[in-house]
Amino acid sequence: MMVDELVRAAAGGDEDAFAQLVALHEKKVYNLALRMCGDPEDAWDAAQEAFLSAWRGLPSFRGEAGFSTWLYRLTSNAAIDLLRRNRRQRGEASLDDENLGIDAVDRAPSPQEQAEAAELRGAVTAGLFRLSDAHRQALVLREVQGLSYEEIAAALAVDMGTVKSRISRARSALRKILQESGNLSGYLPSKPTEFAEKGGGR
Amino acid sequence: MEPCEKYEPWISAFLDGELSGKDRAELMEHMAACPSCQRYFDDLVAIHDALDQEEAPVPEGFAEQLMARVGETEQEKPRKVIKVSHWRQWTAMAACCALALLGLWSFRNAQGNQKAAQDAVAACVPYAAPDGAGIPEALNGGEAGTVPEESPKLRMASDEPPPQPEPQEAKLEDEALSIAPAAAPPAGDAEMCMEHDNGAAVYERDEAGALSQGTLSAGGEAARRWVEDELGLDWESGRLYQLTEEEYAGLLAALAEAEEDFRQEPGEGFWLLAE
Repeated sequence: MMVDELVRAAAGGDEDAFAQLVALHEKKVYNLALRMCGDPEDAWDAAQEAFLSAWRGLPSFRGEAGFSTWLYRLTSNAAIDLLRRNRRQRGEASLDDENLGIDAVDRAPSPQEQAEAAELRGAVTAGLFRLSDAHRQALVLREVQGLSYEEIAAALAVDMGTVKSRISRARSALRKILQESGNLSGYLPSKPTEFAEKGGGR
Repeated sequence: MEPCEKYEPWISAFLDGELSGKDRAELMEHMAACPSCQRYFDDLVAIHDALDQEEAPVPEGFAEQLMARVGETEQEKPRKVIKVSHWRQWTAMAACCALALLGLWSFRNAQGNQKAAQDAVAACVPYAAPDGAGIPEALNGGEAGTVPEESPKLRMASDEPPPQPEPQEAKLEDEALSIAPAAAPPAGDAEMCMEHDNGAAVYERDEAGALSQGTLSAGGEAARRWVEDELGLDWESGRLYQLTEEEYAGLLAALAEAEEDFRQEPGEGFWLLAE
């Protein structure tokens, strides 16, 4: 596989090979960082850090989980580190699993806007940042990167049961946030069986 | 309206297509009759749709800036670790025996009573050696009382089965015992930091938390001489030493030239065991 060859070459110090790996993965890495950090500048920094970590650590990379998976772990960790640094600098308490930190939403949506998909998207994105780092990480890897539970387990070096429950709790917490900001109403519910038939659930 | 506690994680897994067929059937049946769970499912679908946004383009200059920094960043070379110790490995528990043994050793030297020393050693010292799985077992003192399937008394892989315990006990008479227990075998998860007599080398866990895993077992005179003369290391200290690529290559060359047996297992780190 081409990526394997690039990884081997880059692990041996081949910068051109690494540049190719960067080109292959930068979009996913950047977007993952963006969804984790919420801010383009922070995402840039976290994504840079992730790739630099990969460069430094490549010689020791054993390839058990696959290069992308490893890279996603480095990325989400870089994002979490950056967020923690920012919080420390701003003197904020860190969000742990129990503290959802539900403060005032940016603005109260009018009943009209509540029905708009765009509004919900914005609310979901904002709500994502009220989750704990661990919850956000698991949910983003699943929903944004589209990794399977098994891949996420490998990326985060946890077992599948942990992945399953983290994602479930992340969704539950996010739903709670959206309910309290009035965003989870005014859309058309779909039937579960229809959802399954349409091939949903992947 | 909250979903049923049992099915809440099921609904989440179902959304991801990670629910088994049997569970899925059960969930469908339940949801047909439970409005709370239906509502919960609808909410999760809405969140899923809202999260499904277009990928943002990578801002310009990202790769350029990154590669410039890459050029200035050194890769971390995988490290080779050589553990130099006597073939008997000391567990933390056996450390207390060391003092007793010290007495016996002196006694033996004075009285020439080899058998007493042997018996004492056989009684006190659990034989433990790396089982090839890597450093953690050995550093944690190995498993008390286990004899590895393959004696570290070097055989080339193709050779006949390793010798039985007797030769090892015979060896005991000739070789000096390692009196000093291995420097503070660390607990499983602690950072490991063993000092190199020549200064800088430190042995660490890598990014994934794994330790180097290769083993080189050698114990003849050439190995001992090379380690002591070339590296200036203590053959019997029971400590961990880290070699550079060049040092390790030199050791292999010395072993080849002396046509001494050694056994090598793949991996990044290397153990050197004295016989």
